[in-house]
Amino acid sequence: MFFTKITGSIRTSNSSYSREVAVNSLSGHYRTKFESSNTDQSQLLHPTSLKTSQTDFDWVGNRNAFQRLRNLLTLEKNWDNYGAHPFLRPQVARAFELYSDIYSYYLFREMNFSELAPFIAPCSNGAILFEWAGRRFPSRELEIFVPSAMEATLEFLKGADDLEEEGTFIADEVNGLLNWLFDTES
Amino acid sequence: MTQIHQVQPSDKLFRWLHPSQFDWAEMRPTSAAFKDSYMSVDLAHLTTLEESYERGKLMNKNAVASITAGQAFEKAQKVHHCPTQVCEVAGDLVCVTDEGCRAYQADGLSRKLICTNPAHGCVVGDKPKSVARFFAKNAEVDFYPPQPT
Repeated sequence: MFFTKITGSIRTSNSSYSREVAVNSLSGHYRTKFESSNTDQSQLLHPTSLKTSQTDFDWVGNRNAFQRLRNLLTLEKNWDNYGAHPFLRPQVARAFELYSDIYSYYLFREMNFSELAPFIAPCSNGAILFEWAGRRFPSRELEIFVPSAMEATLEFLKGADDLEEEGTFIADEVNGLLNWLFDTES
Repeated sequence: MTQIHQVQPSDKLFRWLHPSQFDWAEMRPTSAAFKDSYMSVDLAHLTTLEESYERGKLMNKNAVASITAGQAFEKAQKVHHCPTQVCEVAGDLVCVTDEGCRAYQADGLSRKLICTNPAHGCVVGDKPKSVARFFAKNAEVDFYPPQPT
């Protein structure tokens, strides 16, 4: 089976990224100001300039969130054998924007991204799942879905003990969800 | 034509997992595998894990999550037994069970159909995030061939 490898330009994580975090003094919200970096061009993507090459991707062993997101584009029609549609670049680009905001949050909080990164999984209904669950998150779990329809809002599901709360949100509000997940709400 | 099985709450349903939808480090399925409004499954009552695997392995799947029909009923889902049928002439999938299914064809019964999966079933219903999470958390997972211990 062949998969697609993407290069191009989009905001994402790299070593110079930490210097670009900006805080909104009114809302307390912070996000990364993206500028093209020379540190690692292979990590840069942009929906309008994606280039592809064929390579295998290890969905079993590779948990790297960035690489899993990138390789969503390699999933072809009926990739799950249950009739799933392929993922389109605008949706994946939107997921990368969310990833970028999440990464910025970790940087700002000086949290270890590799240890606490969300698990990325493609949904059979076309959404993209960011999941904080399992052994790494024993008390609170969070799921975020990037829907296939670009006009649809992002969705979340919070889970803790017997409590569940789901809803929609805009990208700027992801920090509030992460604050809840990591119990840093004041 | 395959006789339609009346699905019982105790019926076990196999859902093969694409490798990307399974957390292999923790050996657990994610909600991502349970989001379809029309979610295909195999009825364990009508097949075996080995036989079902013949279909799963077509997409390099060897992890199968199983839930019970009772769990689906609990979440306001309908569970149909709807054998997979293919039109002998056109080769397209034909569902004659549920008008909402994307494979439904009103003239399906007038066509010459070949049954390719007599154990196929469908878990029908809107699956909000909490329902998908419920299935992911309550599913039992098997591997075929079995994982070496």
